[in-house]
Amino acid sequence: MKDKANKWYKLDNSGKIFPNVYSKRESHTFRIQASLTEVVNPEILQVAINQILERFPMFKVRLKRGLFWLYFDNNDRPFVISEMSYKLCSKMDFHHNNNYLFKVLYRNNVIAIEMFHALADGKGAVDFLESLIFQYLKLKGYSVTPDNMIKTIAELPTNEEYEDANKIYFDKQNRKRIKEDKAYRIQGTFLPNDNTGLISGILNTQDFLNLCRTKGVSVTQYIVALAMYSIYVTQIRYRTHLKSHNNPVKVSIPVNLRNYFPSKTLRNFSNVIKTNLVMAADNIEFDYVLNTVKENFKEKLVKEELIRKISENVAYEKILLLRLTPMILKKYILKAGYQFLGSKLNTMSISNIGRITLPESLKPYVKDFSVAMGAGSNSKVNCAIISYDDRIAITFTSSIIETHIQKEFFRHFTDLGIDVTIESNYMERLL
Amino acid sequence: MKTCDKCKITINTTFEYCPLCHQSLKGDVEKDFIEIYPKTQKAIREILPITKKIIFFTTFFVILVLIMTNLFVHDDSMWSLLPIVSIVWFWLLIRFGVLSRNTVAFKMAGITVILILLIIFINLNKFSEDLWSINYAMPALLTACNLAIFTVMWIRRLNYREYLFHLLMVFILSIIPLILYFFNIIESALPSILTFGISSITLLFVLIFYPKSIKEEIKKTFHI
Repeated sequence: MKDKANKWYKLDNSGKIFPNVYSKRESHTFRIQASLTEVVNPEILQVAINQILERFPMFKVRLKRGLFWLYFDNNDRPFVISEMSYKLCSKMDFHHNNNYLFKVLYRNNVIAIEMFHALADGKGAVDFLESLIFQYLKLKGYSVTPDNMIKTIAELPTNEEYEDANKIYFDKQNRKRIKEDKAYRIQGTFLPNDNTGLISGILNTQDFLNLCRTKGVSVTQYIVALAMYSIYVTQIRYRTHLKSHNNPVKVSIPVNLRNYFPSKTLRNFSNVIKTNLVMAADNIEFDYVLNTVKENFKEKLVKEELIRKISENVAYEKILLLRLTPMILKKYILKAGYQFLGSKLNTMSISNIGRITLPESLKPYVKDFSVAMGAGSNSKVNCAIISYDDRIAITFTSSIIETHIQKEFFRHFTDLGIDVTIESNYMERLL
Repeated sequence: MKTCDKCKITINTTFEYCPLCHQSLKGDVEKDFIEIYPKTQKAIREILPITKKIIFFTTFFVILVLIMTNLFVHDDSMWSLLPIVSIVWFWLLIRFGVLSRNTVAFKMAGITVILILLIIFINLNKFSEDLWSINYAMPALLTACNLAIFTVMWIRRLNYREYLFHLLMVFILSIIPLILYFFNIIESALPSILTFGISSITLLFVLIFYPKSIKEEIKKTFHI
C-alpha cells in the first residue's frame, strides 16, 4: 500500500474536463448545505473536518499537472474552514484555499460544502457532509450513532470509494457518438462581477408527491417539465419568428449512475440525459411538455443508452493522440472541444440529489438541507433539488438579473394551492 | 414571516421586496432573525489592475521612445534592443519569479533560464569578443540554481518530491555547456565540467536515497 504522503489519484473521466474549462464565469462548483437546529461552533467544526479528512483521503488532495494529464496529489497543508461570504458557487481560488478543491463554510446555524466538480459529484459531497455533521455533533457531546448509514472515522476508507467507475462500465462496442443540435439559450442580462443569484422554494414533500402522482410522473420529471414550460412562457412564446427561438429546449439532468450500476465510488459517477423539445409554437400546454419529458426519460433511462453515454465519454479519453498530447496543449484542445461541443448544447441543468435519510439519532439536530449549482455564461439558470424529512427544496441559481422563469415556476405551485416558502440571497440588491 | 400578495409565497427576510416579482412584501419578521445568506456587497475596486495599467503604459511608452530614438539618430546598430530586452526580462522576472504560484524550485529554475538567455543576448551584442556568457556565466548560474534547489529540498524535506523534476531539469540544462565544449563552441572546459559534475552528484544523491519517490513521481508525471 502506498504511504499517505505519496497517495495520488488519476482524475476520473467526468472530472478531467472541469479543471480545463473552469473560469470566473463557469466555476463548475456546487454547494450542499445543512441547517442545524443550533448555531454552529466554528472551533468544533474545524476539529471535526480535520478528523473527517483522514477518513476521506480522496478529498485531501490538490490538483497537480503531469506531463500528459492533471492528477490529484496528497495535500499536506492544513484545511481551514471559513465563514460564508455572499459569493455563491464562485470560481474556487485553490491557492487561497491551501490548494484544496472544496470549502467548508459556516454561518449562524448552517454548515455548507462548496465543491469543485472535478473532485466528486453530488452523492460524494452528500456523504462527506453527512460524515462531517455526524462528527461535529459527536464532538459536541451529543449521543449520535451512525447506524451503518454514515461513513465515520471508526472505519477505514476502501479502494472502491476512489475508483473511476466510468471505466468499469465502458463498452467498446457501444460507444457511438450521436450528433446533437444546438439548444435554445436562455436570454438575460448578466449580474455584475460574475455573481450568482439564488432563489430557493421550499415545498411540502407530501403535497408535491401527491401532485406528481395525479400526473403519473416522478418528481424530477415534473420539475423538468415545469422548468421547460416556464422557459417557454417567459422566453419563447410569441417570439417564435426569431431563429434562435426555434432551437430545441434541452434540459440536462445528471443521473446518479450508482442507482443503475453497482458502485461505491465517491468520485464523479453520473451522466447527463437530456430532454429535447422544439417549443416554437404559441399554444403549447404544460401537460404536453410533461408527456414529452416522460417519453424522453423513458427512452434515455435504459441500461444500453446509459452505457453508450458512459462509453462515448470514456472513448474520448482513450484516443491515443489525445493521451499523448502534452497537457500544455491538451488544455486548449479540451477547452475548444467544450466550447464547440458541450456548452452550446444545453439550455439548463437540473440536478436532483434525491432524498437525504439520516439516522434517527441525528434528526433532532438537523433542520434541513439545500443544494445549489453554479450558474454561468453558458447555462445561465440552473436548478437543484434535495429533499429531507417533509421538505423539498428546489433551488434556482442564476447568472442573470431577470427572475421571470423562477417566478413562473413557483407561481405554478401557488396557483395549485401548494404553499411555497422562498429563500434568496437577494442578488438584485447589487443593482 | 412576510408574504407576497402577487406570488402568494411566504418568505423569511428582512428585505422589503419579493425576490420573484420585486413587489413590496407584507408582514413582519422575527426581531432576532438572521438572513440565511450573507448580504451582497458591492465589489471593491482592486488597486492592482490600475497599478498594472500604469506600469504597462510606462513600459510600452519607454520601449516606443527607445525605438524612435534609435531610428531618429540613423544609427546602424540596433542598440535599443538591449534596454528593450532588459525590460522584457524584468517583466518575466516579476511574472515567473515573484507572482508565480509555482514552487520555489520552479521559480528558481525559471529565473535561471531567463537570466541565462539575457546574458547570452548581451554577450552576443558585441560587447565582448569572448563568449564569456556561455563559458562562465551559464555554468555558474546553473550550479547556483542546482545548489539552491538542493538546499531548499534539504531544508524542507517533507516536500522534496516536488523539487525532483526541477533538479532533473537543471541537470539536463547542465549538459548543454558540456556539449558546447565538445563541439568547440566554448573554450573553457573547467566550469562546464564542474557544473555537470555537481548536477550529477546531487541527482545521484536523490536517486540513491529516495528511489521510491522517484519511481512514484515518474508514474504521476508521465501517466497517460
